Amino acid sequence: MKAFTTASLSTLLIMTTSLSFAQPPREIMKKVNERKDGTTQFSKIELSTCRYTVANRKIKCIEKSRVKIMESVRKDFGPAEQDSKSVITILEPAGERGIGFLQFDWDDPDRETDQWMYFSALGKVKRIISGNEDEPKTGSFFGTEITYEDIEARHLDDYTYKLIGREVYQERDCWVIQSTPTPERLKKSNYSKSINWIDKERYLTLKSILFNQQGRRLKRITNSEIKKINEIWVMRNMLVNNLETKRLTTFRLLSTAFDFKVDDQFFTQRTLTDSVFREQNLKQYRLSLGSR
Amino acid sequence: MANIRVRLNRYFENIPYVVRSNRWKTWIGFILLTVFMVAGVGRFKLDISMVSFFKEKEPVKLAYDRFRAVFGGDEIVYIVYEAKDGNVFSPHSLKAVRGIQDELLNFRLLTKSPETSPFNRITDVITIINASYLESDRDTLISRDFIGDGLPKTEAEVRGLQQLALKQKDYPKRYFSTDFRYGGLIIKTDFNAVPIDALQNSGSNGNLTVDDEPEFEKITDTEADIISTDIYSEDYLPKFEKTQMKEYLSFMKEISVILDKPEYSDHLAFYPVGNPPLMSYAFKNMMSEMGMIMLGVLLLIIGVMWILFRSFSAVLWPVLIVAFSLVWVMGTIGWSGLAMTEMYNVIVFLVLAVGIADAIHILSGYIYYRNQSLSHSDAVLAVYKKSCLACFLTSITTSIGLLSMVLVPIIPLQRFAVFAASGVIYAFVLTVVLLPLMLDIWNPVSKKKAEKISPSGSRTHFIQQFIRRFETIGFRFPRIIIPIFTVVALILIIGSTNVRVESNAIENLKDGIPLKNAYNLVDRFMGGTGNLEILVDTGKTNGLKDPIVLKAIDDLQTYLQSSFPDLVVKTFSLADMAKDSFKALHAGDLEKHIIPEDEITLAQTLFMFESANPKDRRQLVSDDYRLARIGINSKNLGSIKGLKLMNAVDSYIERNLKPLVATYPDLTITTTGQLPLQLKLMDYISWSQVRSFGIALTVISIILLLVLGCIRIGLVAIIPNLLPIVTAFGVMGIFDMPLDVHTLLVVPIVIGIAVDDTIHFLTHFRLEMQASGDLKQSIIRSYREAGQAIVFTSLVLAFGFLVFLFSSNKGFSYFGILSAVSILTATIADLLLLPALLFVVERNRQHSEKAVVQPD
Repeated sequence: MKAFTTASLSTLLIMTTSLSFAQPPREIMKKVNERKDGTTQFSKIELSTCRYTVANRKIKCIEKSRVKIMESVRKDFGPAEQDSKSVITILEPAGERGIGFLQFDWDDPDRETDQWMYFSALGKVKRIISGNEDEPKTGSFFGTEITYEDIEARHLDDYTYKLIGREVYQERDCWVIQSTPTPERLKKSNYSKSINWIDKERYLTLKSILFNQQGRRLKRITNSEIKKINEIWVMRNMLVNNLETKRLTTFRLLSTAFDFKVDDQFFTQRTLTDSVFREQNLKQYRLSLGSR
Repeated sequence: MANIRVRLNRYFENIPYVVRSNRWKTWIGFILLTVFMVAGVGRFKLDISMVSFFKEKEPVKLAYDRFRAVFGGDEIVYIVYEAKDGNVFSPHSLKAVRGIQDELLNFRLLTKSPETSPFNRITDVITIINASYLESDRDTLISRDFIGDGLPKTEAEVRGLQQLALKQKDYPKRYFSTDFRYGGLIIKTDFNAVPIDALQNSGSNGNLTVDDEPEFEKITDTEADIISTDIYSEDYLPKFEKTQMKEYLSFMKEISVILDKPEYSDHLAFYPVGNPPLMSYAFKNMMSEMGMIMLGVLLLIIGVMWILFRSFSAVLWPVLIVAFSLVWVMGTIGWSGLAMTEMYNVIVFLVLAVGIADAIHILSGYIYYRNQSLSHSDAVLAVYKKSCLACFLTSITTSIGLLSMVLVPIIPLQRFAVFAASGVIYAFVLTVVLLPLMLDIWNPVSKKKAEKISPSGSRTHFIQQFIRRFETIGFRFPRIIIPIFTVVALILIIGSTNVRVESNAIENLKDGIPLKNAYNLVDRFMGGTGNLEILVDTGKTNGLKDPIVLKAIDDLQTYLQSSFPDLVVKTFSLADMAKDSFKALHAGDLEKHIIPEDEITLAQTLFMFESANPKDRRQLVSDDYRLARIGINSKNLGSIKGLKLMNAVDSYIERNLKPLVATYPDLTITTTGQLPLQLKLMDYISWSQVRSFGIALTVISIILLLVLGCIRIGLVAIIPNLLPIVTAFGVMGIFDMPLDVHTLLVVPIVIGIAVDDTIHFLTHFRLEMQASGDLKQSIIRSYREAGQAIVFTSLVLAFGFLVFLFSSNKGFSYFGILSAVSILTATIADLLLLPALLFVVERNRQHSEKAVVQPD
């Protein structure tokens, strides 16, 4: 899996349990990357973003948060479920209702993510390419502080890892692991390194700090509200704090369900343009939420 | 009144007794105070940014703060570069530009101590290489850097790139000139725009260790609080950290280090403009000019003192006294914690030049009495009895003149007023207290007295002789002198009606200075260096997603660009981005370069823009689409053209944007940016002028009346003191020197200084009149007693002021010329007009008297 998908979104949120014993940091990260996330997933997501200030050592929004609500459907493909396709449609706000994304992520590092955007008001589907080849991806995910790179799955070999400490965070025993991109990867990345707090017991990344190309602390991502759904660990709240722009995006998983049946035909442009077809399918998928 | 005079006189007479009997206490007290002041000198701060000119609550400044709070800092370094091969798109030029861009952006990876690098202030670097570019090719939208890593290799590729770049509305004149000779590189900084609450997050966060993080954790809870502050409320206006002048200096120095590298300078020539280079230049220059002014004035003083007294001690002591006065002023400023502008140079000058006057008066008196065969101690006492009160009064009047500027609502002028006045008082106090003790240690007469019979005879001769030529003119030809002065005054008054209030920091730089050339170049070939921002606050979330609002903004831009093609170079706003994005959604169809009329279509167009380019979006509209900004780039405008533009903007807004109030009742539209700030400043300067010197004049006149104890003579005395004011304005008007923050200083300074001559002259005149009652004799005696000191102090001051001619700032040069001319006018008026007026007035009073005592 690579690049930007809902599947990748979930990779940050879903992790499997594993044994915890002394092991090299690379092994730890491998387990984090390879945790179980289901073959299909349906989610209703709320993204709210605000500009904040720090007062009395607390973050405070200084304007009304902008809220977007969307539904996403993801399905993994391939023998090892290494590729994935997903559809996201915006429900709110009203002006953006019906805007849709279709995205194919490929495990093959040489294959770029395919991304289409549908503008319901214009009735147009556009293929989206962000950034030049071999350069970091630009642009933001739904106008939030989450960028495409934040939500793509990471290839284990693209980074080197170093265990820099052990700490209790969110009342969990954590490894603190620094991962540094290889020179090849660095060219395409917005980040020069990251520091990750990994839950020793559940192999969940509870917190990440991302450093920009200049080595300055740029973003801080924290995950919370962890719950086990269908034997899969789900972190239902993700905060992305952009320390540079002083903006905070809260990602809330309003509801989610795994491993229900999804027709492959759903992952075509027809889903974007044909709202009747889309609604018919979504109606079914929503039913699976009952098992949550 | 006479009582007060007597008491004051007695008080000053007593000073030599007191300080001498407490010799050691006085010295120790002086040393301790000086040590204290020296400790304060280190806290001395300079600040010459435009914002520093305004009070906190000033609406224009508040609008500017709001602007910075929403959109971040607007201080950029705009480096215009000239391609040595004539083409900024040639592979060589582009490679050099990319090299510079990378060095600036990746400085942390390249320097050994990134934490302390001035480049930490860089928030972004934008060039033609990484300019945001939205490309549409049939059903594909590509959002990317314009050039990125793929530099053109062939001639055809270069030409293709040029053509493509020309088609981007916001590229030409920003990233390159239309003839491709010049290019532009934008370095955005957070100078003066870092909110104080955010400071704890910035700074050293490069090498985070595990230990650092828990600390940070406490600040950022996992859950953010619900809205507690509203960015639009009056309460939320962050205070911004003030950028120190030396930061600009080191920032620009680091930039030159990069630009000077042969791999860049072989291909490009650089012309940086913007606030950081301007501040850096001003700071550097101010330091060297301050040195020059100090040295020039000190040399002048030493020369004059030497000519006057021909004694080392008579030179050494006064120079030491004014030098210590200066240290005290710097210490006071330092301890006050208030930042000073380049007007500090004028304080330096005033303390030196005005401060020395007290010493001259006391020393000449001392030598005069020693020559009258008084002993050292008696001479000191005698001179304190005779001159100290006059010195005190002149110091007070000078201070009042300066303090009148406290009424001007411009902060640097207020601070200047207070500190310059305190400097004048320090000089007076130190002279009066220390001079007796200094003369005890070493005095100018002891040896000479033994050697020469009358050392003063030959010395004072040529000055006295010169002055004596004029001593009778006043009363011999009053009917000629008074009309001549009247005519001259009338000419000057007429001239003064032409005074234009104008301020232009760049225009004030002398021609030929590289920075000025750079500004001219940018105005000629690129987007201009002036800046005006219009803030449109719809008062409603998503107000800017309303097609009607965006259309109105677009129309305003069109109006400005078509009505002021010679002033407005570029405008940019969210409306442009909406049009560009809508066009891109229609595969580049030029007919679709419009704002979509349907609200939902517009919302989705903006959604596309925001997803593709969040950075540009943040620069143009607030996150909630309530507040947008219309940026206007203009040529470097003086305040007169600027006012024309501003008025046009205001009336357009009134006519065409205010109607939106029907839909948006809370709509507010404010203008800010450098231009409105500059205009506001001008507004203060023009009318505050009248008020400040009016009050100073009144207070000084009252003092004159009290000192002279005679309303008739007091009123006569005011007339020659009006002349220097009229002269200052008249010369400004006739020689087209603008009234600005620099030339504004002339009148308050000159009022205070000019009146000193009058006080000296009239104190003597009154005493003579009381003694002899003979009008002509009294005038002649006053001339002989006070004339020499008057001429000398005036010459010291006038020549001193001329030192400012060497300033690289035209404003200061004008200030110097105007002050010098006004001071000389005051002296001439005191020596010719005042006697003539006194003669006419007094003769009318005592018309029976006819006797004329011829001199000698």
